Amino acid sequence: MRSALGYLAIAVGTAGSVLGIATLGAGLHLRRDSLLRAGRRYVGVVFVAAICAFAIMESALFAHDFSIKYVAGNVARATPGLYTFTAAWAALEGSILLWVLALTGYLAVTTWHFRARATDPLVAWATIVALGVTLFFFALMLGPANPFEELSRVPVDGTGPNPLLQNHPLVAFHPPMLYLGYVGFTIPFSFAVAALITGRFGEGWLADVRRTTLVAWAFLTVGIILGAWWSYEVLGWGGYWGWDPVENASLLPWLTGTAFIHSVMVQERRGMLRVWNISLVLATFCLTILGTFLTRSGVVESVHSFSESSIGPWLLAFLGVVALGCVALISWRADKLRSPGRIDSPVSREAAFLVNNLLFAGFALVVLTGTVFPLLAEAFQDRRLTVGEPYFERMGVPIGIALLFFMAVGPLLPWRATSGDVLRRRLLVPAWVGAITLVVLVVAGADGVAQVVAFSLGAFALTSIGRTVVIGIRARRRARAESVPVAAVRMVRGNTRLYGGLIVHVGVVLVAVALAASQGYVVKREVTLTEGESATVRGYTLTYLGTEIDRSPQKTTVKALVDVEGLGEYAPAISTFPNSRGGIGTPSVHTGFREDLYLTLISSPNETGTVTLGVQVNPMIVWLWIGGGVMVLGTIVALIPARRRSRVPVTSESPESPDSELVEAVEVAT
Amino acid sequence: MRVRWAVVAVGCLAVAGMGFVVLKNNVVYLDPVSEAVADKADGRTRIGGAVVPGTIDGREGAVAFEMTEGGVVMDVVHEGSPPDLFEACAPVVVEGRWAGNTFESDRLLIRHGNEYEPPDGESYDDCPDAGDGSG
Amino acid sequence: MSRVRVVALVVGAIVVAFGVVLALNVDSGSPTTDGGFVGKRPDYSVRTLDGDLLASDELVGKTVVVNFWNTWCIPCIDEAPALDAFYEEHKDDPDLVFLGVVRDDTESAVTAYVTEYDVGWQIAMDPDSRTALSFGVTGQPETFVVGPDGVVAAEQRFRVSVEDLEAMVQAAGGGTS
Repeated sequence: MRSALGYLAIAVGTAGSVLGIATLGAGLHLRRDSLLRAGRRYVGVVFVAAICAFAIMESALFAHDFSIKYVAGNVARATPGLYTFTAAWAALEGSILLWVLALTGYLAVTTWHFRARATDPLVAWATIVALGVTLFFFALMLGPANPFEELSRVPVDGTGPNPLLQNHPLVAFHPPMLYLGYVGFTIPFSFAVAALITGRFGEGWLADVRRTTLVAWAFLTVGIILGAWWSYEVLGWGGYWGWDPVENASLLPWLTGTAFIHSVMVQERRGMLRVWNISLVLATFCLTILGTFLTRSGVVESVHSFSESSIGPWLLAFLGVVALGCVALISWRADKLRSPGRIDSPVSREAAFLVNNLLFAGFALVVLTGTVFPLLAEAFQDRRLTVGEPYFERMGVPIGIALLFFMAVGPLLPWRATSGDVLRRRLLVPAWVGAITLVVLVVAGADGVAQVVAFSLGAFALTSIGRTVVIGIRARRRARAESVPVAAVRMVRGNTRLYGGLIVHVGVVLVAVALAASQGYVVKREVTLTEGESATVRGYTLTYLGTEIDRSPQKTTVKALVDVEGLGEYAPAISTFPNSRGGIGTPSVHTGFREDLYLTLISSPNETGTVTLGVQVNPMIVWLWIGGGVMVLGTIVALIPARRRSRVPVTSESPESPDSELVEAVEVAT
Repeated sequence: MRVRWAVVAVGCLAVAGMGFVVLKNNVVYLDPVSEAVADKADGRTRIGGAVVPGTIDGREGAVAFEMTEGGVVMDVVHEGSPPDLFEACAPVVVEGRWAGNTFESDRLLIRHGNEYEPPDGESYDDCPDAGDGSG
Repeated sequence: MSRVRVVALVVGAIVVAFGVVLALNVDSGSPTTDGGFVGKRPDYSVRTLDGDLLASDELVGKTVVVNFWNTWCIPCIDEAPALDAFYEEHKDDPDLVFLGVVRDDTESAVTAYVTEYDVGWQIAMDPDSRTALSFGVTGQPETFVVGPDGVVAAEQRFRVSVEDLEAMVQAAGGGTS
């Protein structure tokens, strides 16, 4: 019964997408406004269909309806409630259902937002493209990835989710956030394609998609950070990023997406970099599909094991059609696409953004090459291979440092061109702080060129951000009598985009510092202890107290109780699940602002009662999570509509002018 | 203008070339035991096979064992303690370098794969019980 | 031609080349006759639930379909109708042997399953994974077809359909229709 209803919902979604595309297409072709308005209603239809299908799936999971293959494979009677809920996206078919739910949700919000422009061909074409993507994913569920497929023999109990997916509540957040990020980029993509088709590739489509792009980017950022957190806190191998193909699959669209949200500012301000912007957003969408393909098709070796499925060829075909379609569209409009106007000076904000684009695109190319190289090589020789981490690090670190530099300098560069004096005045204090940091670190004997450079650039960036904020507050207080906090808040509200962006940059600095410190200065040891025995690692004294075993229907957990002097009791563990060989380790972590103490249980206590613990000291890891949080906070600020007062005209840019600070504040604020 | 684009193009090619060199230097092959032993390559490599029962010899901070595939057996010394799943007959991938006829590994993964085959004529009474899977 | 168009076309060519490489590598979920354990000669000897002894050296000359499964793995349950249908079609073929090997399960559960679902072909337990190891199996379901020469001709590391089984048996050069 449920199976039939669920499948019906999917069929309705598919039909709705087809009808929506047909109606809108007819409306555009016949120039009939009534059809354009009618076509939009199908967006509501597919959204409701997706909600129904998802709800039916959840109901089947909670009811333990093992006649449905997906339910039998992903929940067991002993599975706790939370993991029964998250089982909805534990495997392929369910995750496609989640994808469709997110996609139709975004589309519904977008369609409602543009209701006043229902008859605008740009909006209509964008809706058609988005419905086309929706149609593909619904069709996948009609055929090769049917979440409601039935079993001819109903088992008494299901197998439960993969142990890795029922070990930590994070499974309720990481995949949905990631999907909301991936899927969100479908909307800017649709508008970009619509812009190419209608020939309206000016600034209009950019303004239309700005908010959605930021929201999608924020979710993707959160999703990636949560993935790193999962790696670190849940999987217990001691690291947070392994340059694994599945991880890279999430990073690639993030890189091009970040380039895009910066590069659009140049097109808004000066109408330039049009080809870059269109290409970046089209590439971002293609990369999300490529990412899904790499993750789910099993073509590349990955430690993220997903079960076999046959949708690989379908995803590949879809990716091919989309990618070639994008290339064809750009090629068709090539003559008219190039922006009028040239970059005036290499030392200008436009130039900095162009370099930014090149760096991000280069980084994406580096990661993409490293990820798919095994496929190319294996097509020509019979041996299996992987690309080791040093490749990604050796190529990535210099690019990362360059990006950090431009992030610090970029916001200080004026548009168009500048005089050396203006530049010197703006960069002086931050540069000094950066240089002093560098000297202090070198004198203090800090290890690693990359680390020292990263910290110095971080100090440089923070100072330049601080300087911008201070100047802005001071300018406001000279114009009206406000206290500092009030001035700060009102200043931010006057230009949420700028200050939100600066907050995000602060977060990036924190993340960069955390990455540099945690890569360079990790200490790893193993200790074997008998009960009551102690060992000291890097100043931490650990005493093995004994073992505790927890049994539940869901799993059996063996915990090693360890007392860390001064910090309390910690319990790294290994859990075993029925129906699954081997154990899943859970680390026990003490988080501090300066460093983490990271304990893992390498081997359970054996007959002689000794236990082997992994002990790791990871510096500054917590700043990775804090930095991620700050990035999200900044994005939220940037999304708040700005309260604009009357513009103060720029009267002069002469450095002698006593109002040069005011001028800069105004220029920065407008 | 022309010159500037030429410089940019050459620069890009140089960076790309450097990138490929770094890539090539960091490729890690995965071979089954039979092929790895036949051609003991320099540099970092990965070898897949299964643990021969009765050969596991744990020492302080390291474990020595024999690994087999395709009828060939090899010696492995792994630095560090192996994970809980490590046992006789476990399918493993070790990563490291050759030191003479012994393979010194610093990374050990238990994997699922089909490249394992026991040497002819050997029986595996020491393989652990498959166990009761119906939990 | 404008520079944008040139770049677009170059990118297009790269996309096509890339797509071809990916297409060659992608797993369509069908059985393979070229990889994994194909070409290897498994050595096994099992006792079925009925008490019969089946050994690889004695089965030379016949085409043997070996299906590794158990009662609780969902894809195994999923492929069961296909196995039934195939067996019904071929059970009278004297040159075809159909053997199911159970991994990671108890004999009582298996006997109950066999009775409830009227499984017609021979089933053997593999309590110490010896047979599984001789085929390089680490999960289920996995299906192999061993040709009359005793060498694996085709394997499928996923559930099989009737078409898959027919194709695999064809590859082994054995079986009728």
